[in-house]
Amino acid sequence: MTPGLQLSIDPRSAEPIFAQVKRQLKLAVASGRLQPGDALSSVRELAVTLRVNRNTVAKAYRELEQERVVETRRGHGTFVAQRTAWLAEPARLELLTGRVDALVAEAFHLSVEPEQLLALVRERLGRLGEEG
Amino acid sequence: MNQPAIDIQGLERRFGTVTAVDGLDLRVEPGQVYGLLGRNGAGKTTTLNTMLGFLAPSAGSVRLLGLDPLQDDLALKRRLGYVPEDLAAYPWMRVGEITRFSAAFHDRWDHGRVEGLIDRFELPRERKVRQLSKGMRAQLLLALALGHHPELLLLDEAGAGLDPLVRQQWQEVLIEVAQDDGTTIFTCSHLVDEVERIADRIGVLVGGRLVVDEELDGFKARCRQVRLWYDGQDSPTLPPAHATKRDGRSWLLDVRDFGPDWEAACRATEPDRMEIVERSLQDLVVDHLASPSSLEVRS
Repeated sequence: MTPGLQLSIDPRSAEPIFAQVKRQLKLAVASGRLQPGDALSSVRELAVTLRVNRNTVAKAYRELEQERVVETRRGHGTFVAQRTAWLAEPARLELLTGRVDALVAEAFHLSVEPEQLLALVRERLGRLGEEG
Repeated sequence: MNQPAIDIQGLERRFGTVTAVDGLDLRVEPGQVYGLLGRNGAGKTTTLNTMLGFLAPSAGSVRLLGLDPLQDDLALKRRLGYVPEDLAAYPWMRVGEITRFSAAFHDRWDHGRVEGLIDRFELPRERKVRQLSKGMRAQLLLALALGHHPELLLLDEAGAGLDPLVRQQWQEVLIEVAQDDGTTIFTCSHLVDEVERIADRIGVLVGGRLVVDEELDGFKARCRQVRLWYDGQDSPTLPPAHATKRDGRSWLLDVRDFGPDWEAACRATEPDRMEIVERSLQDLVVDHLASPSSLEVRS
């Protein structure tokens, strides 16, 4: 794997371990810590490093591959994919709508004003840019 | 389908009037890592003791790697590794001696692997077993259990009380063994965190029966806590959950067959607000121990 990429697993979390691996790798790609073409650790290496079942890592990689975040080149390993719009824009936005709804509902119940929420979203997006 | 690594059918074991294991069916496929969880007295140790041939079943059958632990004792020992909770025997032997002693019981012994693990665990070869810490004894037991490249490794509450750094090494070794040797691992443990890391499949034993026996991910995916609010309604019609209780102004549902239908069923009752919460394995196991599902669930 690209040197210095740190993933951390919390087995006490309600989030399944494969989903934790997936989310952190997606964040690493989104923030530019991983770039298209970068090699990921093999399933075996990552399973030992994280001390989790190999099927857990394999499942995370499989789903990332289905979502076109990574690609597997047979015999060479798993690499961060070139970012391509593999779904039409309406479909991509639809995938996010449920998440946004959940966020909006949480914000409402936490009495966070719409402007504050938007400012927070902008700040977090900006941070992703900086990390890259 | 391959022959299962562990195949237990209708196992019963009674001690006088006490039934410790009560009609247990359990199947573990080759290469799987299975974590058996349960409270003390749930029947874990009795189950394991019948697997090891220390106890005869009162009824039912136990086969490991296709062999009967009582009749095919020797053939099985060549292919089975066992890590008990603690090493009580041979307190006078030195670490270096006990590895040679253990090797003598096997035709095939991988000295390199065992010595490599002893180095990796930094076990002092000159020290006597009784002078080792509990954690070191656990590491030594694991190294010894792996010397003959067992096809099946049984762990009985092994590695409890390891310090965090040692636990990390311990888990690495288990993950490596499962991956590189394809060793089937069956672990009885209180350590839910560890089971969650290493297991493919889990079982929860209550009163000598399995109340959960399925893939870990599937188990987590089908269990949710659903919280519903109905403003101004004292007795709303709730979807049928495993358990339902009132919690302040909301209703709390313990759902064990969650899926898209469930969300729709909740919405159909027109709650003013709903929350669907994923649970940690620790919480789920506690729930299932406190209130087992009436039906055994298999996937």
